[in-house]
Amino acid sequence: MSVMLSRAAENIYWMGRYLERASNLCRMLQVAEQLTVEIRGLAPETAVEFWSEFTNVYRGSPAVTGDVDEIRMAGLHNWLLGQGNTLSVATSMHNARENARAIREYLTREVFEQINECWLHLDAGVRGEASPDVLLGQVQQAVFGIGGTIGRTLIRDEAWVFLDLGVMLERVYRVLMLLRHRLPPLMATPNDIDIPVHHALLRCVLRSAGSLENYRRVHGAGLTPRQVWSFLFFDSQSPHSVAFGVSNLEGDLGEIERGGVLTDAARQVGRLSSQLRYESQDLLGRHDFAAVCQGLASDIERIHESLTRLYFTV
Amino acid sequence: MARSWKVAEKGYDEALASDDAARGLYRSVIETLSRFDEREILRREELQEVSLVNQGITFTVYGEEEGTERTFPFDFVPRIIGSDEWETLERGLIQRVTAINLFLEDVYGDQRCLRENIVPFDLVLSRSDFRRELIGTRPRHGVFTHIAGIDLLRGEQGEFLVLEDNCRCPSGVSYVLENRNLLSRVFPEIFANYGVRPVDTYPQMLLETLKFAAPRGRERPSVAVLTPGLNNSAYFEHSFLAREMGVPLVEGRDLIVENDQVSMRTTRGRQRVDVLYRRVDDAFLDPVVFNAGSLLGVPGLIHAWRAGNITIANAPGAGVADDKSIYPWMPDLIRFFLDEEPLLAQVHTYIGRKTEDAAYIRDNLSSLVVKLTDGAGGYGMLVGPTASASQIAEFATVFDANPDAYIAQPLVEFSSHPTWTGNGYAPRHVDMRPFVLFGETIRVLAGGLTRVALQEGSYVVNSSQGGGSKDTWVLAEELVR
Repeated sequence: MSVMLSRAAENIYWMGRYLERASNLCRMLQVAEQLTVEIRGLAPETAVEFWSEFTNVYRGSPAVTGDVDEIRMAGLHNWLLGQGNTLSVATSMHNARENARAIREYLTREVFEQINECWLHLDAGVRGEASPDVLLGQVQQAVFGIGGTIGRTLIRDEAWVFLDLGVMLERVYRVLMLLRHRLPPLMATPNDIDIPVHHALLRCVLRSAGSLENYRRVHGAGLTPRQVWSFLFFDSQSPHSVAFGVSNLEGDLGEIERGGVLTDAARQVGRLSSQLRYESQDLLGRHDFAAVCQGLASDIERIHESLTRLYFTV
Repeated sequence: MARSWKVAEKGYDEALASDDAARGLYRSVIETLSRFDEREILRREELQEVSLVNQGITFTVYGEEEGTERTFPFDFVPRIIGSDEWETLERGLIQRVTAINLFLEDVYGDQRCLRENIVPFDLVLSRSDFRRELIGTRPRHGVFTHIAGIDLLRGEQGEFLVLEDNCRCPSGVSYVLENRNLLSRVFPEIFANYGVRPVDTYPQMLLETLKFAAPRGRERPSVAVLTPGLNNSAYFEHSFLAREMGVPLVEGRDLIVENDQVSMRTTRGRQRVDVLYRRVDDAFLDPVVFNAGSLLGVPGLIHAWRAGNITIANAPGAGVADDKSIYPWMPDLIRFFLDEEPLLAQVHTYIGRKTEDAAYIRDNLSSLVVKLTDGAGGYGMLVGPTASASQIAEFATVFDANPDAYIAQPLVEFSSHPTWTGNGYAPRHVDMRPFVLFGETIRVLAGGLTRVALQEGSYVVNSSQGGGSKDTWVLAEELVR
């Protein structure tokens, strides 16, 4: 099929975004679960705070109060199964499945089946047939499995490019949001810092971005907030770094550029890519880290708007 | 035998001559299935269901919560048709579809059959599916029904009878292919002694048919499937056919007409469409010509079609041929257009618009099957012999208000087929919809959708009314190996 309908391109792009969102969120929930186990004896208030901050990283859900267990279960339920929560894993997978149904002719049977199966697991949870803490592991595996199946079975045509654009855009945006909200508190290092808890939280940032092991291969056991920032921003080989994502976006847009004309989206991505490549030292030297992340996240939002104008509303 | 098989008490039993005695073609399959104990059958049935659910092989049910998806229940006992019988059936289907097309070409053209009073003039012109706007239009090659589904049942002697013609957007072929796929995975053993003709050639046959119908001068025609969208009951099938043919699945909003040329909105700008396999009813195709409020259609589409710039399959206006009040005239139409005797018999039909027939229908509601002339899916239908007194009384009021809108047929005690009921095999009524493609030649898919009434004694096989389906085997050789 050489023709790519604008509506199909939009659906596959959003399918990529929703799948990536679900995958990110599953990973963050898993990290929060592990952190709760790790530090609830040492610093229960930190565990409570970590769960509460989900609202900042993924805006839009009601704040939850209570002790560690209450907030953990409420958070899990809200972010995994919450139907009113437009960003929950269940909502994201429901939307991804609706997008997949709309463009089933572009997908392999295996990809559609895996998306459908994952949604069925979640649907059982939404209907109260499975507990969220039990379901989380299953769903996480299923979501990761979808990514693998996509990589192994889909043809690398234009549909693939739009899917990858969705995945990468979402990934970069979520990593920036994660860094924007999780890292600044860790950069301020008061004298009475609790080193084990501090390190646990830094590891959480890396794990939330699926990058702890990759980070260790590059930096070894040394763990500082600036190194984490540098790695998640500039490492060109780590699949969850901002630089990696932007480089992929650049490649994707190169594939679909119209008749060699530089589009708005390509120009915006190119500018971002140059900034990450040539202004890394300036960026690393800045102290308003949250503003840097926010600025880049706004750039990503503008790229999304350009893509919509260029390709989805022909 | 490990399990008992009961022959149908009434009507023709397709598989059994008597209890536990299989007809020739069925011997091997019944022997194989009889070797499975109940636990094994249930295990495989569960596999079957999980497979359907996971693959999202569903249809959308109207009238319930928006977008409720259901699987179409599948019964694993296959229906088998021998090659000789199929050959006869195939000839009858080709004859019928040829006549249907000639009828359509005529009613939108010279109207000879109306002028010579083969079919009453006012009957045809008063049908809601007769499109006056299209008089004088002749599609490429004169073909109106590129894809037809002819509903058949077997009468009391096992003979095939035509129950109705589907000339607009006949659905169900995706289940024919998926049922074969499912059965061969879940019960591979039962295929061992049979040479079953494949059905997975259908997408290729369909694409060839559609490309052949393309407007003149289109060397490599671009084909698309037009769907009303995700919430349509047959959306799975629309998507399935587009995927299997490797063509885009479009909605009305993806298309635009400029200077009588139809284009798709793509990421690389607008691209011309040559053939549209539409799964949208006439009324919703083009708000400029038909239903002005339609959000599913494409403004200007009919003008583009009349200008010969796009092929719409099936052609607009084809629905008049499958109106249930035209059906009684089909044998006469076959004689008129082909000068041949009909090869397939059909069920005697009373027509509500005839005064004497309306009175007969009114007096005999309890023994007739009464249907809306433009109805489908089992909606608005009364099965008199199984209806309660209050249902009949209620229906009588509706009928009296507009008898012209109905036809009625005596209840044919149509054939039964062994079907797994959850705790054993029992006879259940079945019908069949073979699919006929009219391209360079007329071809019939060697198989068809066998629908089964899953409730004991029920005659309603529609998926929307609790029916299920079976795999239909057409054998390459008469005898099992």
